[in-house]
Amino acid sequence: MAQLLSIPVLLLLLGLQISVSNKFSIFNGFADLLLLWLCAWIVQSKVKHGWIWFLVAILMTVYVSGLKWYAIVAGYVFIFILGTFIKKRLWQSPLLSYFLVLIVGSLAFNFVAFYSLQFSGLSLDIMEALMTIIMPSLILNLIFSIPIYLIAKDMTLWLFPYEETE
Amino acid sequence: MRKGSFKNWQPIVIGLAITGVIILAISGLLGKIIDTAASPLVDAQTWLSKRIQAVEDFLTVPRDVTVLQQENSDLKNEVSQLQAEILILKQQVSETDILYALLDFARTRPENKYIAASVIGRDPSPFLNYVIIDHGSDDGIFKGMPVVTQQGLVGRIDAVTATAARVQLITDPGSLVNVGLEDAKIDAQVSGSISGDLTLEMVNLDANVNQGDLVLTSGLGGSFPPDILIGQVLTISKPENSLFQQATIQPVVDFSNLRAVLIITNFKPVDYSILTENK
Repeated sequence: MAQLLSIPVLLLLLGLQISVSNKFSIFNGFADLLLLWLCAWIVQSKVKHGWIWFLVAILMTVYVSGLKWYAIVAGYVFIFILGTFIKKRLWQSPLLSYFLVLIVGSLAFNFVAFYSLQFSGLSLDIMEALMTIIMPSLILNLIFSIPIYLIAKDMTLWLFPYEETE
Repeated sequence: MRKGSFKNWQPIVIGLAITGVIILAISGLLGKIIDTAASPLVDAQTWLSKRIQAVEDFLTVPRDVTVLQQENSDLKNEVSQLQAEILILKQQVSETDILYALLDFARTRPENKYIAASVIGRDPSPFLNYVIIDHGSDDGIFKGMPVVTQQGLVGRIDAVTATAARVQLITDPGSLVNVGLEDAKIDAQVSGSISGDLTLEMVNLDANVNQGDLVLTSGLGGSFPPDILIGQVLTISKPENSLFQQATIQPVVDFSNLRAVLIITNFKPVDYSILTENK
């Protein structure tokens, strides 16, 4: 059930991402709703087989985005490994884990995207990218982080209600 | 005998009376007489009616308030529905205006064939300036086709599915367009950037570039048709020890508010991939 739900939820988030998210921008950066959701989802203690959500997100993003496929795969795989690792270490504080995964994951994802573009032959200025895209995107991700986290938490409670009583 | 003679006179009297009434009616005097006669009756009826109405109002007020509240609620619902309809109609008018503008542009260039498409999304990565349109290979759209609006050049088709396509905007960091300056009669290149700014590059140092010069596609390289407007020269810079001068371009197309575009379907871009594969 939880794994099947990944398709409509991530489709909805991707739809919002490509149509609405870029309307709320700082300089050229905007919030990454898919990344926010995946970070919030992977740190939830009850979530199992979270990799399926990442796989669905990778397939959807590769299909829609003009970014190189290996950059998308590398970015999301890094966030999955980081989230799984931090969840095991800081399981009693999921919110702290979430912020840690979000900040590191957001920066890592954007740097991977930046270097993938450079690798494909584009001449880009790292300082310009940092000031106009990477940092503004991080700020917007932090602004949208709490509502997304609360929705993800509510959804895990709804999907895995029995484990609460154990 | 007397009785019989009265009976004979009766119809004549009635006939005369009716004739008199008709004559009075024709002459307009009957109305005045009736009005004068009926006036007290009407006044009495009005007085009576008002009193009865007042009593009726007094007795039925609570019920009327409920009815009025219901009517008020219904009317409010109707108003919100109409407001929603107005919004939809305004949106349709706006879309129609855009389509008319695109149609006007298409009419000015009858040599080209166009397909109009709506912009339905943007690339999820902030590093890329791509838009997604609602027409794909089913509509005859293929990779490399130029995309324009009534204002000027937008970009080219980068990827296609059956029902949608991705357009690389000229502001994308990976975009490079061969251009010519209308007044200076020189060839150059316009490249995009991650900030979405357009830069004019590869301009000879001795070329006379002025602020406000129009930048159009040159058609060199075969990626875009010639003479499509891109923008105007905004600022010019001649860095020391540089082989070329640079200029920033103010694009004519508002890329942040792109809603509908035209794809030029009869332009076949030159495919250099065969040459690179042979290498």
